[in-house]
Amino acid sequence: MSPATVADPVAIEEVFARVPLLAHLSDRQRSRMASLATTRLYDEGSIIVKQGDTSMALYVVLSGRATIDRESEAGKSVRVDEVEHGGFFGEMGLIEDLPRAATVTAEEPTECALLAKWDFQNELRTDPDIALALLPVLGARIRELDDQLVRLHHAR
Amino acid sequence: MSAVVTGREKVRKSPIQRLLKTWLGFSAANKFDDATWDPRAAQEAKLLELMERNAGSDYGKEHGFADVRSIEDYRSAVPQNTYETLEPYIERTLRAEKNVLTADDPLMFATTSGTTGSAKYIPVTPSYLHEYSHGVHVHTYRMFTDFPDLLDGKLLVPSSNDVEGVSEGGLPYGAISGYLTKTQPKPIKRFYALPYELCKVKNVEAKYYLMLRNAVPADIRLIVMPNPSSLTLLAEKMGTLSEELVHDVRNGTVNEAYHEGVPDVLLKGFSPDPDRADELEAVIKRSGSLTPREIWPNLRLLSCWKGGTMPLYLRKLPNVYGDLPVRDLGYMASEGRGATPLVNSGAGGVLNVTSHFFEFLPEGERDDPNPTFLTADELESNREYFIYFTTSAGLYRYDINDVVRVVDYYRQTPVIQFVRKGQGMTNITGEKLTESQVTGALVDTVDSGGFDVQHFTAAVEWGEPPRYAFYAELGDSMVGERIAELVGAIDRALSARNIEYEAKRESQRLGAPVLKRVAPGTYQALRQKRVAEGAPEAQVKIPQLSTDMEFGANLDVLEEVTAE
Repeated sequence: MSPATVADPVAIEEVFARVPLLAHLSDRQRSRMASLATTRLYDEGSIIVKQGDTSMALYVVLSGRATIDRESEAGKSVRVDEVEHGGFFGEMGLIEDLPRAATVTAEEPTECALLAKWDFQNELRTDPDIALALLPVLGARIRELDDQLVRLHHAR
Repeated sequence: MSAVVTGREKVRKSPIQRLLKTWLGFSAANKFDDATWDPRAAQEAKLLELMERNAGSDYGKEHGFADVRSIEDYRSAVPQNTYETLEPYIERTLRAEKNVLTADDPLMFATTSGTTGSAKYIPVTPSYLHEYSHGVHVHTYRMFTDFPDLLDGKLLVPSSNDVEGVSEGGLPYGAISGYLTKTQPKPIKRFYALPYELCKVKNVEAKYYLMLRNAVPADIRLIVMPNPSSLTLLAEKMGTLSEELVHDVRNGTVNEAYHEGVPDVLLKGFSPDPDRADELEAVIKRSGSLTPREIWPNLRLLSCWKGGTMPLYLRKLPNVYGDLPVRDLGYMASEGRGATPLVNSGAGGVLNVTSHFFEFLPEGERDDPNPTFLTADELESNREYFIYFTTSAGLYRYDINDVVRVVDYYRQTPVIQFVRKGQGMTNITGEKLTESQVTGALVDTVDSGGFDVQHFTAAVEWGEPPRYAFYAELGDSMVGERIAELVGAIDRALSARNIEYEAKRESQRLGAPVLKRVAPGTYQALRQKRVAEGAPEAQVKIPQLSTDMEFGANLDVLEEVTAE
């Protein structure tokens, strides 16, 4: 099952502060984002999102545990991460419009807060300061990718 | 990539653009958006609205619509329906009887292929058209929001013929898309590159040429074509017809090779445009032929179906359209609009909770005597369901025979993706071929032609275009010309039994079928394999229409003959 649950905006705001993309927002901005989130409970073994599918929302784990697996082009599945309270996935989906990059499975009953891309971007449209707060995060992400490229180049 | 500047065709920014977007927002998108926070409430409201409006119809009186106060009441009062169970009511509506299924009278009938062979006729009432258009408006509004300059150019959106014939009661039947195009307000028409009358052109070559003749001079920003293979075909035709198109653009003419059977209005009204012809000619000199990306540098978005059997064709789009984003067209059929995509990723769309009332049956429970019907708020992530529609077309708890999967959530509303048709049906290009149609066609063919066919299975075979492969064990008398006659006769028999199959064959979206003669004993071996896997001997049935994409993969094929 994956029923909707009653959202607790304070708890959501607290975990949103751990998401890099939202960490630099002001308390007011983050509180606003938290008020737009919905929550949903996933049974053990449920697939929360599947690689290749439409990506509509950021997911932040409120409780429980989920694994993140990525399937290679050759069809081999590789465990890339595990997320617990405060962990998240689909973060870049708030900005990019790409399918889910991995499959996420609840390893135990897991409650997630979902923030829809549309609602996030609407906030961006109405409060451009949010975009300014995101710039350092995106800059860091670009530097991180650059470093990875350099490491890969040297490893060859 | 170098690109031609096509500023001359640009539609100047005007109040109508702003007005259109505002209207779309208020009329549909805002209502839909608000409803996604509480899909249960939206769905219950929709259902009760339908019950109240149609309580006085014959079907409504027979099933006590006036006493329905909740979703539970509705389920107790109304049985699940198929087209066949509603057909007696629809037949009466076709004869212009009033108040049969719905309180409002149909404007037309939308046609689609039925499960028993004959066409299905869906009554398009004004309220159904409103529900249907509601989904179109949400889709359009979101595209305009994400790509704000779409209306600075033109939209290339071909439609299908809305008047294929006339019912006994005097109403037209055909495609809703043609009707919507025909009834567009004049200020809206200016944003579209194609005239309504194009949907009347039957000849595929002429249709594509005229489509390009209208679109090539324009600054196209968005292309909407349901099938991704049509997008590829459009680009191919643009390439092969480059010289003719440039000539016609220069002279304000339409090549005479495409005049036959074409309404006059489509051949007139073009002005000579030497400047644009020069631009196009420069593209040909540079690249060898016209290409969509070079002649339409402001093309922002493609929209087509991305779910079901479409991924094979989607993979080919980047070869022609580069990295242009592709948004799903939405899960929809003549029977209703199920979901509207709000993003480009994947093939999922948000359930249209303000358009129709929906119920879902877990995929494994279809044959259960006491199935558990669910509402939109009760669905689980990544589960597959059969979907049932209740609409203002008079379809109540209607089994459309589609399987959908929940791929995500938008607020509290599920995001669903079309997976496949239900049991016993294949659907490559919209033909919705059923096993009963295949069996019927085969029996007709054998009876009329005296062919010795011992075992037979039709299966989908991917290719460019896709086609059906007919695997068959044949008797010794079946040699040479007889096999060619057989495959041609089955092809014709299928066309006779399924109007969409016929249309897709005529339009070349379905290739000519191929008969693959398999070695004697093949079917017996298949049966034995199933029994070895645990199936009871008496229940083993090798289908005459296989939905298994690998059906023929390991069969010993002796010879192949393609229909002419």
